[in-house]
Amino acid sequence: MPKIKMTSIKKKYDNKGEEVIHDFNLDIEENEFIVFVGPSGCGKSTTLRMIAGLESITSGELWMDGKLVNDVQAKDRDIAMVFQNYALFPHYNVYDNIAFGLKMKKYKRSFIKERVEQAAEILGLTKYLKRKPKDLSGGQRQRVALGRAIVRDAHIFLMDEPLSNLDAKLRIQMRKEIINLHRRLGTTTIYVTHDQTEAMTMASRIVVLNDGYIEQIGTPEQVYNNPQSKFVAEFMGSPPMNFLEGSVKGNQLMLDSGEVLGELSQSIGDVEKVDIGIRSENIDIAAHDTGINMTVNHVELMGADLHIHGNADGKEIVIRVVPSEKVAVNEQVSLRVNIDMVHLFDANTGKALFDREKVNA
Amino acid sequence: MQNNKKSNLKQFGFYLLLTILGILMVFPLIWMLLSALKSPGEIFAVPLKWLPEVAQWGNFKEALELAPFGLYIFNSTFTALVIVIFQFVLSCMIAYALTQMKFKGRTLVFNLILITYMLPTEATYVPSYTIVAKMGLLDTLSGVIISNIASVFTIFLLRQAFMQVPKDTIEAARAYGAGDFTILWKIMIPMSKSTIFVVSLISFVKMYNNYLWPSLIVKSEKNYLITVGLNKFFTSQGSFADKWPLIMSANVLSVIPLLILFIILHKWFIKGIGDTGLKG
Ligand SMILES: Nc1ncnc2c1ncn2[C@@H]1O[C@H](COP(=O)(O)OP(=O)(O)O)[C@@H](O)[C@H]1O
Ligand SMILES: [Mg+2]
Repeated sequence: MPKIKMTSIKKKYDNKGEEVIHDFNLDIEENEFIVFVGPSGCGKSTTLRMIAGLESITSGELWMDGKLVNDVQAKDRDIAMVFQNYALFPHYNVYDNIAFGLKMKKYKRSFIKERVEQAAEILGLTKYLKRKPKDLSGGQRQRVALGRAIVRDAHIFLMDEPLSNLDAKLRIQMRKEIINLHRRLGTTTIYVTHDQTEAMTMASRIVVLNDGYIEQIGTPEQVYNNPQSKFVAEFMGSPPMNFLEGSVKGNQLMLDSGEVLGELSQSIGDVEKVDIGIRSENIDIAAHDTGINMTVNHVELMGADLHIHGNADGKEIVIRVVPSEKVAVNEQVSLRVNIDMVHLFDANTGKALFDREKVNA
Repeated sequence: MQNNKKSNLKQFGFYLLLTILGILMVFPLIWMLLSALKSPGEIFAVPLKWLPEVAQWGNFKEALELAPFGLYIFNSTFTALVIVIFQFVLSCMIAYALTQMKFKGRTLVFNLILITYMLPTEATYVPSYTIVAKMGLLDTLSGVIISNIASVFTIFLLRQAFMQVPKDTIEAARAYGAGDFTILWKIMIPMSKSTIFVVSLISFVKMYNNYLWPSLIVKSEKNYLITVGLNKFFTSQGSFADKWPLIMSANVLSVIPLLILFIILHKWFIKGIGDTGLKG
């Protein structure tokens, strides 16, 4: 029995004509760390809020622990939610903020005290228990919000972009803390973010959303190595995947400019128009003329890697090479594409034409 | 440098203006207090006399002997307090429903409430009087209280304050197990306390100073509010020059509760206003 089961869930806001979530289907198992990722406005928060019970479900079924909860109020769903803006109670101090959920359940004072102090210890908040939220830094406020969630012993954690108000350094640190917390408590978690790096680094499974549709569900590896649509390929990974336009004829992969990239190891039949996706690590600078030429626009040294940005075939391209590679801005270089690592997408539907993982297996 | 001097001058001008306005505001009060201590001859002395030759503290005693001002003040304070409490409870609940609950005709309800505010109060006297009479509450303090427990002013300002409470905060409370009543009591009200405080204070003063409507309802002396009592005192003593110090003494007595209230609460007043919300 899955921890959370969502079948054909749809959402339409009262004040808005069109549906914002279309046919959402997902099973979440106990202890999973699920990340909903997608661009702003794609419906991540809406979905999360439906799970929390803060937003009504227009149609479809939401099951938790084998119970249909569509009509169960938020306060009775036994979830703990962490909000983007922390949503602390400004008139309570840290202790009372963390204790809020326990007080609502009418636990004994001594029990509450023990739980709160334990959580404060885990989160390094012991010194700040008497402070009001306005006297805390952003990171500390987010820890209080986490504390409020973990003391409850809730069955499900829901987090809506909890780190997006923090600066980059703190974000990375809190990311680790949340992962450690999940390891320690094992609570089933749904985490919402628009940041693909967070999704890749934190998730046990990623749900990529676009415009109210699920584009793909899979582990970070699956989503990265085997994107099912051009949208996923573009959205996941940094630097983003490169795209060239071409066609397939008799298993030959050709660019629109007429250059042949190579022969595909699997037959997919002739395709008039394909989008060819190539990750930056699967393109090299060739020693000889391959016919695919790129003008270098600029070069970024990223420590272990060198990112070379340029134009090829009228497209922006980024390639990732070893730092010892010598290239100059405005130089023309020839590119060699690793044909065994390209992803092909139907130019009309954006759907992947084959599973890269299966082919390479 | 130049700029600094200019702004200093500007600030000085500003403070001067405020000081003058402040003096103008308290002047009648001071004049009242001084007059209460004068002898009848001194009040109308020409040329004008600022200070009494001998402070006539006996004026207060005499005024209290002529009419039960203590009782009037108690009646006023009591009704004003009960009214404020009722207004607070009822308005909080209405404002909560108007801001947090989704129901058909929510805007309509709010607009209807607002429209009643546009009506001149005097226009409602006759129907209200009839209702109070039918309830058998004429000449009772309950009549004064019940006819004042609904306040559009309080509802409106509380609604504004409740709308300022971030949606996230309320949702967090809901997600962590709070129901409507808890959210109202533990979140909305504490987070709107400065508004509630100011509104209650204004309402209290308004009710304490209310004259016309209570004067229509209460008839017997034991139910007089201070405003009604003062007026009756004034008419019964006549405007003879020798009674003016007594009238002034009675006036001084009547403002004492308000003065005490302000002295106790003024610190709160200032703190309350600066103590809202959580800025990121
Ligand atoms: N309360 C609301 N009323 C009407 N439309 C809303 C509301 N909240 C969100 N939407 C719409 O629903 C869509 C999804 O929003 P949201 O779930 O907030 O996206 P995300 O969290 O992925 O950025 C958007 O088009 C947004 O405009
Ligand atoms: Mg969102």
